[in-house]
Amino acid sequence: MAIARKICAEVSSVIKHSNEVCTLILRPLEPLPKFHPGQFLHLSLDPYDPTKQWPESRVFSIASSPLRSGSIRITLAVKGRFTRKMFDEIRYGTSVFLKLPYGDLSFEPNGRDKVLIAGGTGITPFVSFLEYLLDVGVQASVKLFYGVRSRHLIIYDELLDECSRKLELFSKSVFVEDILGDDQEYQRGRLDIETIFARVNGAQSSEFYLSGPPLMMKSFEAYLMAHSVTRERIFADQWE
Amino acid sequence: MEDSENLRREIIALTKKYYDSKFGSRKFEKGRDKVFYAGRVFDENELANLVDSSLDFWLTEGRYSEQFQARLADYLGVSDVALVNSGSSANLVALSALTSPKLGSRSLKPGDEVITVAAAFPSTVSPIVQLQLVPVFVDIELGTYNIIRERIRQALSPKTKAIMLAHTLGNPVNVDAVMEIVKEREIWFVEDNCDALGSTYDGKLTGTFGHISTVSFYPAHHITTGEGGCIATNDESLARIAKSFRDWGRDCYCSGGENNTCGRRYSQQFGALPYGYDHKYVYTHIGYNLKMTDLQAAIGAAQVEKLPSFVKARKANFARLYKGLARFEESLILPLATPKSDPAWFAFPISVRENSRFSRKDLVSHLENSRIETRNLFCGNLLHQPAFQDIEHRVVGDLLNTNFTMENTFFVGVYPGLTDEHIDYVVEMFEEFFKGL
Repeated sequence: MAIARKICAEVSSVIKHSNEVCTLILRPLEPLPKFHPGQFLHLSLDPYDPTKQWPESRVFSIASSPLRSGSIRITLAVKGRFTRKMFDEIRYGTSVFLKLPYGDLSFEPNGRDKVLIAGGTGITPFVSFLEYLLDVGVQASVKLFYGVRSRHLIIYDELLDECSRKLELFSKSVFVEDILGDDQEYQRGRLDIETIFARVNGAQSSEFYLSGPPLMMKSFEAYLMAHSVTRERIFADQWE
Repeated sequence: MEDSENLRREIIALTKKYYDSKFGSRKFEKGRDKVFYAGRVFDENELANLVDSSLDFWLTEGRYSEQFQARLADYLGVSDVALVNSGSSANLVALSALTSPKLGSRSLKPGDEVITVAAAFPSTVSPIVQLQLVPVFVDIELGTYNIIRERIRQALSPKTKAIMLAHTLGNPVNVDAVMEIVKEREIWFVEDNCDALGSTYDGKLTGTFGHISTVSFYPAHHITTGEGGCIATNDESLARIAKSFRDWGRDCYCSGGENNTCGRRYSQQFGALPYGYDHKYVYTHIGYNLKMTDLQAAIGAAQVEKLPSFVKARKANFARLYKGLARFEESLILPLATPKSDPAWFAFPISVRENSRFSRKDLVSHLENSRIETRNLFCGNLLHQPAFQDIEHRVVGDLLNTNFTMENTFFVGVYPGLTDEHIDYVVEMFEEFFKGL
């Protein structure tokens, strides 16, 4: 983890996906420290005075490529008082304080084939990685399995489409719980590790990246380990 | 009650005024003023930062530490810098980091060998001994005072796991020779850059070649924080391990006053602890507490801004002194920069040639009597030092040059506090000595 730095940023765009999920594009007012796809940041709504302690903050996966340093993107889902305040109060031009980078989750663009499994807003660390792949290219197969409750909760679909068009070794399968039947783009139902595992050629030698609800990650991890995927090849984006 | 910010501004302004009154420059008087081999070089900004930090009363790592380490990382072009309380601690932390079980089969274990030199400052070698590793001593070249490149390969054994070398007095080791073996054998390179901040090899800053490197901020060094040092690395995992050794061995990486930076404070499993045991009190290494204070870092934050000018001044002083002493080369071995290097010299090493009409003692006594400070090349041969006489070690071939430097080598200063007048006076006193022979 590179040295964490504290910087001020301004909200340059707010994209509301639903009543509880939105994406913020932030424009750093100071140089953005280097980070890796998969890392996260702390965001504070209160002003940071360097002579005092860091104010209350929450962690968010960085959802943009480290090579696009002019802005940084996060997606938040309302889960409590802090994120509700963020959702309700953050507008274009709002100043926020960030400290970053943190986190051990990282992706090596090449090497082993990768299976990315995202539940809901758990897609965000993968977005950083996928956008990075658009910037640098990839020589390994990357399969994304992405599940959401409703069609309108699919976020970053444009980026995923761009990956499908531009990255030869990328494929995506999007699962939506409340659609009536499979259509061309989406499959009906919840993410199911058994189905996913069956669809991955050479699953035992692939790397699995999990991000989403804790229970989903726990059960998927247990399944993978029971099917001869070693712990070293399972990477989970976890926090409280 | 006056506003605290206004008071702070007044205090800082007064501090700057105090600097002018107390430390303002005065003219050098030959023979009366001492020509130091090293010393603090600072202005009102260091004093102002120090007072500013004291008014924060944060004390432990804080805003100035963040600023200082970020500037150092930018200067070196590395991902990570961790501040410690001395260059010696930096060496201890750097080598300790390589013993971490987190490195798996690459971790250093008792009995593993580390190639180094005996013509060293003790704390380059002490961590090797303290960690129950075995130092393997290789002789040095005269002139560069660095390891003899051809002998590094001879020092290899199946137990060789690391090379730990200092860039002697700012003069880079032959990095090509070291890196060739490091890569070929997949062993560690701990680069003791304590005396060489700002030196380059093949156009690249020293301190950026090793898996991990160290810097000292003791007052004799290129920049100072009083006591102080840092480790630097481009390996983020190694940086985290090093910080753990620095910070009691803990796994948590929150800065002082912060909580739950990792976002998983109560939801991880470690060792045989209950699940979710507070990450703040989880220890994954047998560590130390070797951190720097924010007061020290405040000085460093001002010093690091001066580093480019300091490096330039060291090089200029070295060049002027070299030019002045070149005429005595028949009797003196003058310093020789390692090929492909551009040293930010820590000092100017000189050896009295064999069969000269005088001894080191004769020359050094003349200089010291002329109020020119000199120093020996650190330990001489470390194996002759009381503490090191009985350590487990291996010597490759002989240490003839190391022993020679123990008897015949010393150095004088080129630090940025010296002006042309100082340097010219030093040359003058060498002339006086040779005239008197």
